[in-house]
Amino acid sequence: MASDSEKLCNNLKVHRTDAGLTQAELATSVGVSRKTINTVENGVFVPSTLLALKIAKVLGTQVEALFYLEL
Amino acid sequence: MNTVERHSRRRSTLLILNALALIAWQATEISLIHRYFEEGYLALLPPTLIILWFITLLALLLKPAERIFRQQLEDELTQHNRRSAMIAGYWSVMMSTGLALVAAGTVQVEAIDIARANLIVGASVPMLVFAFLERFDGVGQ
Repeated sequence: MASDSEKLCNNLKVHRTDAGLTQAELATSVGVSRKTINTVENGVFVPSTLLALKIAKVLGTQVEALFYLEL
Repeated sequence: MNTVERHSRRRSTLLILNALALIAWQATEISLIHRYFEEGYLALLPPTLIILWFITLLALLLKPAERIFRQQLEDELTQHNRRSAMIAGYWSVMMSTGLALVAAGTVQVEAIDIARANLIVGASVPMLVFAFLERFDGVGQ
């Protein structure tokens, strides 16, 4: 469990743009709204493990490459 | 704004209208002010509000035909926002019940009015909070 001093960060925007996808295209691929992708990218919303795995699969990468803990 | 966002905005607008219609309708039924809505033009207000509430309720039940849009409209951010709205509703009902308890110690309040106030708060706060979260990009930021 992450403590208060730990923060979940992500490289989603970098991986998404590298894959040449817009937020809307990635959202449709994983079955969520564009707003959900936007809030995940901005660190406002923490996705479930299932969604994180789906996003990683669509972007052809590992979940650990997308998300990391900042201490 | 894409199709899903248009549906999401439509849903939040309908929720706001539905909640406001419910608040106004139930407020006209409160014992202290109900007599003002028994005759004249004002007597038309409660049935108008009931109709508005019912129409918005029916409109809320309409879902987009495409499965992908329905799935995107009920994704995990939406479910997260629903949970937040329900929690806000729970605490608002707790507060209104507490206020009613305090008020009942000093003034005479009809039991039906307290029940109505709790109904208004318990039904409208979750709807308004969810609509707000849907409209302003997710979890309130």
